[in-house]
Amino acid sequence: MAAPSKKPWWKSLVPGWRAVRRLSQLAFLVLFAWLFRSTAYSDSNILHRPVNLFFHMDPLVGASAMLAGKVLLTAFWPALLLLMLTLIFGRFFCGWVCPIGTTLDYVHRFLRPITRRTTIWGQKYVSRWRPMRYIVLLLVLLTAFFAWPLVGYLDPFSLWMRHWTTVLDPAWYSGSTAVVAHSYHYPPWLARPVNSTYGFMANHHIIPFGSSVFHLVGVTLGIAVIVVLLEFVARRFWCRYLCPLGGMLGLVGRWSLVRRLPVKMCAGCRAKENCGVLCRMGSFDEKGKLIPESCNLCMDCVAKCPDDVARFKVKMPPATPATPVGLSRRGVLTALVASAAIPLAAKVTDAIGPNDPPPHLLRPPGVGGEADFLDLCIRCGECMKVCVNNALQPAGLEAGVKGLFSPVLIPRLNYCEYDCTLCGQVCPTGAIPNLVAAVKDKTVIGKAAFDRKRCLPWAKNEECLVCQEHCPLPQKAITTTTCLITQADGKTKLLKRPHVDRNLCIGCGICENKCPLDGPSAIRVYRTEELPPHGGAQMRRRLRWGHPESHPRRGQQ
Amino acid sequence: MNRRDFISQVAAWSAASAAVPFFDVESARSDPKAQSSLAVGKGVDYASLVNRVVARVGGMGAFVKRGDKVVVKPNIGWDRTPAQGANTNPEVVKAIVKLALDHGAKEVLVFDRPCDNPQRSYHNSGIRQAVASIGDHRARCEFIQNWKFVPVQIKRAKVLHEWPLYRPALEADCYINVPIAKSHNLTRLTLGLKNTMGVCGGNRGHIHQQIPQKLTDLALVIAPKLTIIDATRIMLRNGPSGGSLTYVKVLNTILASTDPVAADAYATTLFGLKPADIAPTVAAYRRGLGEIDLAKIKILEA
Repeated sequence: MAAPSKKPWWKSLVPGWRAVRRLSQLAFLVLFAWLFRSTAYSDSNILHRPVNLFFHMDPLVGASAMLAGKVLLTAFWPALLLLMLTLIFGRFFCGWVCPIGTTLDYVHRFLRPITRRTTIWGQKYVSRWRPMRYIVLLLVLLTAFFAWPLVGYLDPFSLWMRHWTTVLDPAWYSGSTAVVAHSYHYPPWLARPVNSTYGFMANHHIIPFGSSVFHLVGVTLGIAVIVVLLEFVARRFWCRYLCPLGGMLGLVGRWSLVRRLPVKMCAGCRAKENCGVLCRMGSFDEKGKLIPESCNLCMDCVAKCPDDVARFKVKMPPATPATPVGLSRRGVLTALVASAAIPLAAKVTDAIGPNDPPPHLLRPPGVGGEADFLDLCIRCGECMKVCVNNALQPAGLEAGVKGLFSPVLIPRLNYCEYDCTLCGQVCPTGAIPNLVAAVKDKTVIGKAAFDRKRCLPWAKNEECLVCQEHCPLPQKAITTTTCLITQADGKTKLLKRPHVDRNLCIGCGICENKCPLDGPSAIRVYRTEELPPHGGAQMRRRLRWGHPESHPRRGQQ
Repeated sequence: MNRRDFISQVAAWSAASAAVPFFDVESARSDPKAQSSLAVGKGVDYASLVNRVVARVGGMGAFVKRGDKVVVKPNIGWDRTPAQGANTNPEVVKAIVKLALDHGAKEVLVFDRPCDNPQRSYHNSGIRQAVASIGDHRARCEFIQNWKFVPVQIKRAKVLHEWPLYRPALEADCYINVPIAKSHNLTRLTLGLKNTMGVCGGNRGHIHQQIPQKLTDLALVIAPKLTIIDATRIMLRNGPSGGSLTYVKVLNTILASTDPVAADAYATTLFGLKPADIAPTVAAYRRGLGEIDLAKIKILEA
């Protein structure tokens, strides 16, 4: 029989720090979901909510974007705040805030019978991989500096945002509308409750407004599934061994004021699971010594300690942290070589493949040079989420290896709405400039051109002009000439044939989208070397000096 | 209802919906021999103007009975403001919806399938807010939901034999067409007949080939009880999307008729054109859908 607990009986009634931590995790997950849902048009040209808050809190994204773009991005000031908090509390962010960490914790809770067995087996083998996150961190920062930022593929928010945007949300929409669509032909007593439930959920933004479909769904889903499945190898595998943001916060947290005591596992521990088994972050090394930069302050050890020995205290950190980072010389060298080699490899593949961007590669409005854009873009998918028409898609390899997951406009799937400026408002790094509507209306994305071998009035003498009808420019960038046509039966008729006015066309792509032909459109938007009049270099310079227009929520009318 | 009934009903309806119901709708003018009449009025208070004009064609009570399902179909095609004259005037729509509600309609649906982004078009046209401002739960300005399109065979059609149409429009007891009069690069003007394209699903670009005949075929199944043409602002050129205030002329005019062809024919004169200049109007007249000759239409000043 176990010895009677030393805790007074009432202590079990007071919610401990662990409960507060769980509440915090849930609150931040809800915040993430709410900001995600707010990343959409809702009857206003301007987004009023700080939808990219999580990115601006992320010192890794900020550092990487600044290193890659060689600019100062003032919008990332909340990241400094986080770093300061980390100096006080250590790596609390991973345990209390991060939505990926929360998701992984929930996965573990849900699958505990299976994960417990596998993780105990796995923990033995993987603990020596601890320095891996620093190698990943080095890789991210160095590749950023050497102009192929890998941050978008390894930063937790980019990963999660992309997953929610391109996989979860579309699936959720299709699933829920499939139910209501099927019930539509049912008798009213059955159709009505389904329809009103759907209406309620749609009105309250629980279901997104419209359907969306994205490229690379399988790849994005696959990455997310791998991150989740690694939970079977060790709890919080992603956070312990891979996450570069966790690595960065851990490095800073080595000097934190709030520290876990005692710094070694107790010899005569009488708990069923001692700290070493309990710790989801694997914060105790083989000798039972605490590694402070791994601890995410989940408070499990405090809650479970039978003798109230495990506790967190404010304590001046030692000048040199007790435990080494554990990064071997070999590890650092590997990271260095890899980060120099990866951009080089990308250059080589680019050199083998087409050097110039392909003619149909269109970028979001206001984006100037391809190289500058890829430096700053963090592949987060915010622009794809907010796009009212689901026109922005993650690029596969069409923009080169370096362009993977960066946004491209594919007009045949959908076009860029004339007066909409949302993508520039949500872009966390300003890779897509934040343009006012009056400027965006004149910003060139590309130039349209007809394929006269397929266009109905040109190829078949049939009337059409759907393209001109939709052209949003007041002066119409599609003009017509009237021709007298002699038909096969000898009769004549007047027919209007369309032309593109290249001086006016901005390449929004509505013509390409609405062209009624099956298959490829008879009018397509081509990439142009004419830089956007207000985009490109000029915009970048403003951004560099923290011009008000670069701020996501200012600079609008 | 017991469980057996429930299961058999669900099974039967599932089977029916899987088999894709073909809506067999055929409608034409109730009395083709009667003389067409058309009411037209001018004024700056659009709500009272609508009331006056509708009163001259018999009053809303002649079209909306107590408990009716009413559809008011404005043009919400574009992400444009009311001043740009690309969509039906929201005040006009609001006044019509109110009239229908006053005559005991069970529900009044307002919708269109926009060409631009639906959310932006509904909001920036002002129509969504106008309907909401009535504050009556029976009146709803709803977005098009794709699953409500049903394939329809048009039996007497010459060209457009089958097309997916919006089921709420087909099921309405009273369908009121509320186009805005404006220019159109293909058909010269877009009026009532062309506005019906807003209930069409599918790839609507295909309707643009042989458009006069196709709009006529469409009018065989979507026959409004009342056509109210909004000419408070008309767009003189670069339609249908326009975009510049210089194309817009303020006429403060509204006209209404039970005859869709007569309404379109009269509206043509507002642009200084003849009814015979507009191919869809002519095609519809030839199919016997209404009167095109202004001399034969009884014009009532409101």
